[in-house]
Amino acid sequence: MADNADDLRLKNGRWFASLARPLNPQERQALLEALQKQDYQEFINVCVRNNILNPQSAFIAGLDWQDLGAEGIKIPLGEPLPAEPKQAPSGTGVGTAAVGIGLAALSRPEKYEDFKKRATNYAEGVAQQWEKEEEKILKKPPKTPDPNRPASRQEAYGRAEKYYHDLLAGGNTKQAKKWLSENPGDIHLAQAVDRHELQRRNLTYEEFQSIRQRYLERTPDPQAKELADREMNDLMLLHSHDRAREWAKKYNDPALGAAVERKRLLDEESINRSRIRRTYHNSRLGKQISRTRDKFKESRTGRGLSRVNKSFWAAVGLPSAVANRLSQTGAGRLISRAKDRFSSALGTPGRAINKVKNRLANTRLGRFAARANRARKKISNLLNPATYLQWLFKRATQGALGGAVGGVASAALSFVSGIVTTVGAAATAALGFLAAKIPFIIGKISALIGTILGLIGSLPISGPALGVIVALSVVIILFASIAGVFFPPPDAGQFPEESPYPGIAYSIACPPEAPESIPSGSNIRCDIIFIHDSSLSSVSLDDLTLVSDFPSGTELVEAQTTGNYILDPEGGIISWALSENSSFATRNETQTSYNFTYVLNPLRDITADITLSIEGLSDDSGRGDPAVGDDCTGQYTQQNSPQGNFGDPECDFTKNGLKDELDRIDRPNAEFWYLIAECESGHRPNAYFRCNADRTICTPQVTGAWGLFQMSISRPNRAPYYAGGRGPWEDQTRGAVNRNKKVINESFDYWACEEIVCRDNRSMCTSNDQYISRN
Amino acid sequence: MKIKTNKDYLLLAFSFVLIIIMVILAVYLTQKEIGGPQKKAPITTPPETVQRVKYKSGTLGKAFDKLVNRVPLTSPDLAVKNRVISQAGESGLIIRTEKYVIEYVRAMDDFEIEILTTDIEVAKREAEAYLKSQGFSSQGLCNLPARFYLNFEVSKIISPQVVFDPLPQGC
Repeated sequence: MADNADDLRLKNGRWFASLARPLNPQERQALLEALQKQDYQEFINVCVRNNILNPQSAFIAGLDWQDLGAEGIKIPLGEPLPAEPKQAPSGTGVGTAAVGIGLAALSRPEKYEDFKKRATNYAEGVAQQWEKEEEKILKKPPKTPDPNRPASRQEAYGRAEKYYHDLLAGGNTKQAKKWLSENPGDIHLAQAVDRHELQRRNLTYEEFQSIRQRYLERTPDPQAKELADREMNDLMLLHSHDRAREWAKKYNDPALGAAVERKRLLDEESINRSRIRRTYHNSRLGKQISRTRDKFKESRTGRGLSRVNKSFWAAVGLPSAVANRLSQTGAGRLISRAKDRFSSALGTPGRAINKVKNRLANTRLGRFAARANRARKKISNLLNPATYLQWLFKRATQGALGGAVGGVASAALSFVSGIVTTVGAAATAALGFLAAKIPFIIGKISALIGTILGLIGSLPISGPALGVIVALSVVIILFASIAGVFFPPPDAGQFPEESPYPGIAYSIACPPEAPESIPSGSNIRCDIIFIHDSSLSSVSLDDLTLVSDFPSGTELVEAQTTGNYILDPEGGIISWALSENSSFATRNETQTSYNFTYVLNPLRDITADITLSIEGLSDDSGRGDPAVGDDCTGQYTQQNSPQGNFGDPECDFTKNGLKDELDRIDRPNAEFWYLIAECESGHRPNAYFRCNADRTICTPQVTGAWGLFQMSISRPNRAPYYAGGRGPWEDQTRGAVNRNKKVINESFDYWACEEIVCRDNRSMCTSNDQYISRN
Repeated sequence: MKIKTNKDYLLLAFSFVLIIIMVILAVYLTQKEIGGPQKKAPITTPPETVQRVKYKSGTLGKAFDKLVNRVPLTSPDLAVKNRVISQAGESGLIIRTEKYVIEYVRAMDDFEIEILTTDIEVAKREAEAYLKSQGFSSQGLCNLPARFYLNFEVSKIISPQVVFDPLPQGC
């Protein structure tokens, strides 16, 4: 789903609706949540409530709500609405039901009166919904208020009414005009038609002036005239930024000029916000914190703690889905609040004492006392090693006693269990082994105890001898389990290495490694681990595909391969689209991990590397076999496009088009991108570079650099896995912007030309560190 | 059962050994289950693009600055600009020679000059002379803004020692 394009895309990749403006983070989150829950009514509700959709998105009326995800389509402006909806939701005018009724009506507008009645119902429904939400907000004000929320019921009503009329004007302009001619006094309809008129491609400035004037005349309230004027100018700017800017300058139109200025300020604000974020991310402190955190995670202690933590919560905690649900109930919230208050109350004296202690510690006397205390301890240890050893012994004894109590309790349990029945013990053993499949300590201990109990139960001994054996066994078990947790076998259970992509770690292992070899006739088992942390990565999991090469001379043993995979035996590729493998995911707070296994049967003796790569990180739109166009009437020759016309197959590339596309997808950085493309490729969509003439400069990637932004391709010559530079110029542009936004935190840290500009112009660096490193 | 005979002791020892073996086996098996891959995957570092053209220090940043922080043209320069643009028509193409192409890009509102030869300085001089012959002043060229860039194929064959300045002289 693109948040800054003028189109909204569902995850199946088909077009569904048009956005009226870029989404803010709250809206984006709300829409994503609705999509994840497949709650399309909520999805539409969010769109309508926030005026997200373009008026001409009325075609959604033609679809059953439940089918929206699968059947999402795009109907360009001017085409007739789809046929009658399969099943319009019933309801009497509240919230989404009202939307359903309203939209359903649009798909077969029978009578003007009916339309008006439905418009009123719809607006009333939205207003009622607003009231309900307002009550909730008054009870519990949100931490971050929604800036787009209507300020009053009247405003909510007005917006909904306007939106409904816009739906008609955009979706069925002919009908709207016909009704307007029959009912010239309908101001709402007239204004909707006027608003729609602004979208005409061939609109001239004179026509714009005339429409704007008419619009103002139709606004009855003198106070609203100013707002209406502003609205028309903003709309014009929204529909055609270039034209509006040009007219403002050319015809010295102050109102339009003010709109341009407003937009410029908004863009600047957006750039500044983005810069602050990037500055922190790239600052020494941010990097240091990130590095420290990563190092700790990868350290033995970090890994051990993580395992213990996971094991503990997996053993004693509720499944996260259940816990989440419970926490959303009234009782859950109450408990949560009580817990917070309890913790807060309990912590108050401690905090107060700490505060005083800290203050004291910072005084001269405090510092002196601290120094004296440290010295005293050292002296004390030196002078009295016996006390120190005593203390150590005391700690060891306490630990041993704890362990002994546990051991005795376990022994008693084992003793009773062993005597009661062999069958029961055998069942415990089976359960223990099942639990052992789950990688945590409880599972292991259960497995071991179960096994031993089963064995002991079946022995022909009893009484004290059995007790001794049981006690010894339990001690051994505990020792072995604890040793297993803290001293795992070399390399086992390692967290996959962090990849260069923030929040993504992955690894593949197909033991053995050279010089060892597997016995003839044995299969090769490859284990893949992929971990995604949504708090660090902005890449959507649904966009990603794991791809692994396997060597020739092997064949896949499908029966032992896990996950929903796609096999390309000729290309030697097996891939897992993560969107198709959500049932194989394990989620833990912000982390989602996938484990896949595939098994290869070597048909002969082979020595090979098996690799894993991730598709979809840099370009989530440019997939497919790149079409190669002709020479565009001699424009592209072998001399200037040695790899053929891959970048402009439709022969429609222009510099103006490039700038328009950049304005559309990354307005705040559009000029910068334009200059980068100029510096990287001289604005040539078919540019290809591997090495210069004397081979003193070569691209780091053996597949060369492609297109406007001189990007790499991830899988050369293997459709459908092309990405980055080798695609039509619009895809190249989107690929570059996506890579910058999703993969490298908007640092532009991929393009050599960015380095030059940053070196020259400090304001274009994302941080002081970056400027310093460039210079 | 009381331990009375050697047989009993043997049985006890056997049971104990069996238990130890089972323990070791169970620990080994469970460790194997929780063990991850032993080999880390090769991680590919995202490559960066290479700098083919050596830009004169400070010039590309200044060119960018000229784009985003416009300095208004003087009236005579503005008049010349309007005339040249209207003559260029929809395509924006002002002149094409063997050495350079000058075009006006509407979406950027700038004049872009593509150098088509490795004789960069000569092409720049000639292009600037052409624009001045149309009536632009030197400062006008800076503020249009006019900007040079190298044709992609030219950029591949020029010597890495060449230092390129994308700005007109005196900017």
